[in-house]
Amino acid sequence: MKVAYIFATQRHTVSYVLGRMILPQLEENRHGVDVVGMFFEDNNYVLVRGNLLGERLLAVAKAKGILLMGCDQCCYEREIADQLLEGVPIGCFPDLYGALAGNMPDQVITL
Amino acid sequence: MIEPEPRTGCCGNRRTPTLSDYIDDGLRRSRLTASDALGAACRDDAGHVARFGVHIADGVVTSVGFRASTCVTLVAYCEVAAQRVSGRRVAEALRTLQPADIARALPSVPPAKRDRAQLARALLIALLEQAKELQT
Repeated sequence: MKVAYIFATQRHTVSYVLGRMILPQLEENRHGVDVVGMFFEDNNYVLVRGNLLGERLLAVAKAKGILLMGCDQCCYEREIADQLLEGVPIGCFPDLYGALAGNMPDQVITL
Repeated sequence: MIEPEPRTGCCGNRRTPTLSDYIDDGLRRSRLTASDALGAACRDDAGHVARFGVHIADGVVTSVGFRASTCVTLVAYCEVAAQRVSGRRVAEALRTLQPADIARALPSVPPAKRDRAQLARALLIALLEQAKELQT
């Protein structure tokens, strides 16, 4: 099964759910599903260059072909749009759906 | 390059407007723009649409309105262009819309999204040129 994650809530979904569960599982090839994309609304500071979690995430994303994308308005609001990890785009839903069109997820999970 | 108008920030401090300020101002301007005050719509290759409307009195651009697709980058560029020309004589307003100048106003926009600036600029120039011809 293919899934995409949308990080939208203000819970500790990145430091905890992503950082301590999803990412280590992906690194160890035992997450259980194919992750095709991750879209960050809130918590998008993880996509800033130099962020330790973000750099690990980028390495996994490159190795596994996972799309990483930041919400454009969220990144503009935080003034980080020009500081993101190499190759990570920003966009809104049309951009996200367009980018996932060639590798559509079976489930989209909002965290 | 034209310097942006400073904003009043916390405790009355003056600050340079951010990209988010232009988005907020642009969304507000677009809400307040009546449909019948708008010129022809233009669509770019990515499907983004924008329409501008200007009111000119005695050769001066007294008000600018627009409606644009919900791409916030496009909204911000349209707002930059609208602020640039407001209150200027038409010929002067046209001079403020130099190529790359609108894009340069928002340097934090990633390169992949800077093409929206051309759509905003081209539309406003076309409308102002039209207005200029009507005046002469």
